[in-house]
Amino acid sequence: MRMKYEEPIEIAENTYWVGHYDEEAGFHCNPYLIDDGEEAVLIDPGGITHYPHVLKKVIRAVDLDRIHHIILHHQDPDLCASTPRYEELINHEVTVYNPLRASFFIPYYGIKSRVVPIRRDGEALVLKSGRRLEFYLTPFVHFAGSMVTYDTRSKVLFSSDIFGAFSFDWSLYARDDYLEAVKAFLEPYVGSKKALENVARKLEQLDIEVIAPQHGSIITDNIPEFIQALREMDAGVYLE
Amino acid sequence: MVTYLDLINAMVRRETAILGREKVGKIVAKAGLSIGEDGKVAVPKGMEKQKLEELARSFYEECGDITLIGCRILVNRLAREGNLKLPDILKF
Ligand SMILES: [Fe+2]
Ligand SMILES: [Fe+2]
Repeated sequence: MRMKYEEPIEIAENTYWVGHYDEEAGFHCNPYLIDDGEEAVLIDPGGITHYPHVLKKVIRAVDLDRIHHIILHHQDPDLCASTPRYEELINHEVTVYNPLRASFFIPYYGIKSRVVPIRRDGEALVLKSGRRLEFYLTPFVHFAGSMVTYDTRSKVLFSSDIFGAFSFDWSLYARDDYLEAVKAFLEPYVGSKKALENVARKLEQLDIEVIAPQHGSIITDNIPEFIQALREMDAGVYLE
Repeated sequence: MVTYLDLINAMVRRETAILGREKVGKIVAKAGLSIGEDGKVAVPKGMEKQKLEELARSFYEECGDITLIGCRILVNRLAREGNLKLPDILKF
């Protein structure tokens, strides 16, 4: 049965996929929203082209003024570019969380909010409810300043481009051959095996129930196998 | 020993993950080939190298650069293992 992609879709408790499904596209972006009651967190809101669709879903899920935090996992336009539009609509200051080495670039989108640069693994955004969103740096996968977010309450890993995929035949949840699609996307974009091994080592320490990537499909099964695959992927082939 | 047929099957498997079964089935059929129950492509003997190039070209023509970016690394690695020469479209 096809899911109702026109609506926000709850992927874990009070955690929503708010992306846009373009049936013609071979590449899809996945913004997410955590509604934690008093505060909501927007994760990788996306580019300009999908913005009207994403905004509609965000508004359906929460009152915009409950959004106090925006997480940007690196500096790419497909996740950052619409941030200033949200800043204009939200009637109070928001805080942006971004890896230190990406944080010098994101003001060029016109982002005016206070930016908290993430410098070390385990730094966290602790919400008023006590919910802890931990950040883990993933240098050079794919940008020098890249990170992922682990929600310690829902055990969802927001993995950014890691575990993303090219997908013409897209579905929100991963199908059996999804790992093959992940390799197709990740191998051409990562420059070093060492960088991938570093990510695998960090993720192996976390108790992950759901992987929610910024492209492709959500993973709920065989998570250790996906993490192990990072160690086995080719990287830096374009340098040979 | 890796053969051209292995390269075709690896590419078709990879493209199926990206494009979906239906689209890949159509592209493979257009090249005059079919995918068996086991997911493997049957290719007439001696035609493997030519069909590899035809298929790569069809994937590109139907769905663009993503298809080639998504499979080049895999196909090049296998070709190296089998000491096989690749058509230009699959080279970096
Ligand atoms: Fe990126
Ligand atoms: Fe991305």
